[in-house]
Amino acid sequence: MTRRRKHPDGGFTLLELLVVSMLMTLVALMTAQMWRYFSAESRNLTDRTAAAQELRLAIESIRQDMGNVLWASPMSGDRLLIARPDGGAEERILVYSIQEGKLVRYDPVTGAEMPVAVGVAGFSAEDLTESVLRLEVTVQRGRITRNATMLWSRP
Amino acid sequence: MISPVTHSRSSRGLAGFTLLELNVCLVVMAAGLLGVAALMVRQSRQVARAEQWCASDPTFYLICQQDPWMKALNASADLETQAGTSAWQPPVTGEKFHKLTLVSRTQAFGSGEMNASVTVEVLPDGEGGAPD
Repeated sequence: MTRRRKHPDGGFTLLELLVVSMLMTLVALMTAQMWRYFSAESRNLTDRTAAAQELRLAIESIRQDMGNVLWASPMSGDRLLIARPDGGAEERILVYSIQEGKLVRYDPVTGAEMPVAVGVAGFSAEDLTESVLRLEVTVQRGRITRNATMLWSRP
Repeated sequence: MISPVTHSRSSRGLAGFTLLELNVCLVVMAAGLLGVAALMVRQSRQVARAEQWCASDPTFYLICQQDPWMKALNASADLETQAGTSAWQPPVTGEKFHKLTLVSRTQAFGSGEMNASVTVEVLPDGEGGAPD
């Protein structure tokens, strides 16, 4: 300090520069590590939340359509046909299938195709027994996979 | 008149930061990072709680509505963790038959609650309608 007061424009010594650069490197490394951790954790949380949300959307949509179902049947393993009353004695058929990672609800009468959930890695519908239908939905977001199974007994 | 602070600043000139300043800076930075870490931990706990229902590949039973009232209201199937029947009870009791007309219906997505506005017409026995 005494020397610096005498020569204010003398600059830093090599030792000072080395110490400062080592400290700055240390701080930068620590910050980078923490940033990496925070980024990975943040991405993980986002994926977990999104996967749970999409799975919920898929389940709720199927649940809504199965409330007043006349009959439901699997088709070729990855499609689900649901028949609902459409006023009077008529039936209204709905088809659930997976298309390009989306669970799609298709209404053949109106031609309306509605994506119910995205990031869907698998959808299967099969008859476990003559009276029990098994539905399985798998959602994948990033490295997070969530799976739910629904069992429905024919009345 | 030069204040002591100004004098101190000007005397140091290009000397840079003192060790104390650097320490304060590091402490403030560490406190900020710790704050962010605490937020992350809290968020992680909340997400874990929110996704608890689907974290272990659950199996649900879809219980479709059998009651004519609920069918008329276009209610969702019950989603239960074990097999059974719907616990819903019709709001009207008695011996008469009723004709149920749905006026409006609101249900929050994913909610088990539903608000419906209906008109109920009492019918003579044997003319159909939603039974009690």
